[in-house]
Amino acid sequence: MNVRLGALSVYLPESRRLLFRLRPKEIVSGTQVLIQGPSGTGKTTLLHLMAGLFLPSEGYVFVGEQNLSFLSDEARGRLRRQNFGIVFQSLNLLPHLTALENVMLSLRGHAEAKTKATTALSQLGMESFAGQRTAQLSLGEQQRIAVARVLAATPSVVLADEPTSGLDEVNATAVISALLDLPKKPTVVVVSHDHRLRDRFKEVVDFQDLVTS
Amino acid sequence: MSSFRLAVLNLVRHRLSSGVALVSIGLSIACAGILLRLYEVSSSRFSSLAHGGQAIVGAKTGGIEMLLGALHSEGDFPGVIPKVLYQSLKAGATVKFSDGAQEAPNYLQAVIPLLYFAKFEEYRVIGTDEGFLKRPVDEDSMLLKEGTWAAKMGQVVLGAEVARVKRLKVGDNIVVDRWNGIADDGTSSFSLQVSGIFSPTGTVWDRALFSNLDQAQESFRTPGFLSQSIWKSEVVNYFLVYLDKGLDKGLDKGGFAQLGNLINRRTVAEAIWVPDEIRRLKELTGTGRELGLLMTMLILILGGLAVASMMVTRFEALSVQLAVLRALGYGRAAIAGWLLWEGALLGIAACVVGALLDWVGFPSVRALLGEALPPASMVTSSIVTSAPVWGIAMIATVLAVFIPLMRLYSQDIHRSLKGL
Repeated sequence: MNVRLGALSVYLPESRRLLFRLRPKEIVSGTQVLIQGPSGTGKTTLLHLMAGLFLPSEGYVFVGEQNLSFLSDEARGRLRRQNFGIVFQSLNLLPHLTALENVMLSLRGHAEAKTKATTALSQLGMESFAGQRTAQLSLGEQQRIAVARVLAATPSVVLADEPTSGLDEVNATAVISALLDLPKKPTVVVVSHDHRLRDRFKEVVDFQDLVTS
Repeated sequence: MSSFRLAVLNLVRHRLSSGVALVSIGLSIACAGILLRLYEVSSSRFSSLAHGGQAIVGAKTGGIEMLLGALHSEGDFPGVIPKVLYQSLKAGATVKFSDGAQEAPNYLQAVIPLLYFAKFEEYRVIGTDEGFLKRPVDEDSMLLKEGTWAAKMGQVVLGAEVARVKRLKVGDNIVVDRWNGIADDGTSSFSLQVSGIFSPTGTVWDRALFSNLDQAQESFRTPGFLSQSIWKSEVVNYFLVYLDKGLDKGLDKGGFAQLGNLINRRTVAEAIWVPDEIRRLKELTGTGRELGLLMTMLILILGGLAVASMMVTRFEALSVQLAVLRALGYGRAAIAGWLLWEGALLGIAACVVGALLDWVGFPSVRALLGEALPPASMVTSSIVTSAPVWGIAMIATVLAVFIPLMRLYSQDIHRSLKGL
């Protein structure tokens, strides 16, 4: 599924100060893109714009043939549920749920959700943690559960925000491999300032190069 | 994962906070339910008060106590007054006093004696005369559903409820316990035969048994009583007075002023004007009942606010998690469903806890209040009376969810996820 960004401008809601203005950019279906840049420049905001969690002040975001600005909140939610897999910067697992239940969150309405979630955990070597609450797991284990949530949903677009942040070499490799080796070859956009990831992507974009004056 | 399952997991996995919320709401429901039941029991006095003319004469104990003792069978064994006073008034004869004063109470239409003399389990047995059946006011009259009046010694007529509850019929024999206010007089049980059953009246008379005055007098011929009473066994507890003839004569309150003057100043007895005492009782208990109702409402409001505050705090802590769910594609309706399910489940569980506490605690609270309320043997109270409280609590618990719900609808997912 293509993701097209058209002359986006984002202003801070309180001060109306311009946060960034981007050149048009198209991410072709099946492409794996790493967007790098220093902290605080707007990488997470860009990812949220692609997911329709936030609408641009000016410009547009197309996902497939749909302009996100023209979709209702509910329709954007439906689009995310059906097509997106998202790994958040701070993992954002529900701590009172088990690993399996957290993975099943992305499978609402799916038949055999439990089987799919169990399979996704197995693919990441996490099946033995299925019944454990995520609050009891290490950062690396939590990160892999967040990725398993994406894996289980078999999305068309994967958006990952700093997925290897705070992980050691082994865990970082496991997590990024899982994201990049997903079946059905989805479009993958990873934003990160982790330089270990550069070699894993064919297309690496510096966020500053996207920004226009 | 469905909204219902999310609600169940959030409640079950946060055991401590869910438990505290459950207990606090449950306690509010129990308190409000108990107060409501007390209010209902207190109110029931007026609907079950027996009809007994315009005035009551009895031993000097105060108007309300006499009213409840005579027309609601409440309290301990009442004081006694000489039977001769009743006989003189009934005969319309001139009453002569030791100081030479005379009074001719020709304004009285009917005088009906009441003398408690035994108990059949929790029911009182009252001695009276045939005037009790046929009253000047037709709607006050007691109709026999079957059988005849207990005119002979050893006979008794049952109130409708006594016959129904105890499955008694005319011709049955019952054993009653002597009851004449003497704590230890070597009392004994004796047998009475059912000669008739009254039609239901919807009043306390349905819960009593009736016999003739001679039978009642017999119960007072015990050494313990005779040694204490200067009138020996020739006593009555009360007599009910109909003053309609006085009304016809144009006397104020049918001549109650004259009767009061006669009884209150010159005898050991006291006469009360029934409508005045009912009004006083309503004023007295009305204040308490209104206060009780106010307290019930306050407790419910406080309980509701506690739930609302708990729900707000609970979902405030979940704001990032709600944002995650929305980012994963959960619509507002699905999350609203979660919140509403959580409120409803908490409400149902709290109602069960509250009803249980209400059921267990009400008898003790009622016993603590003692004679401020009609006795439990006379006015029963069902746990179902508290049902309106459960309904209000359920509504309050679900309404409390609307505050976090409103916040959900204005939530900025992007900012919540970024922790802004």
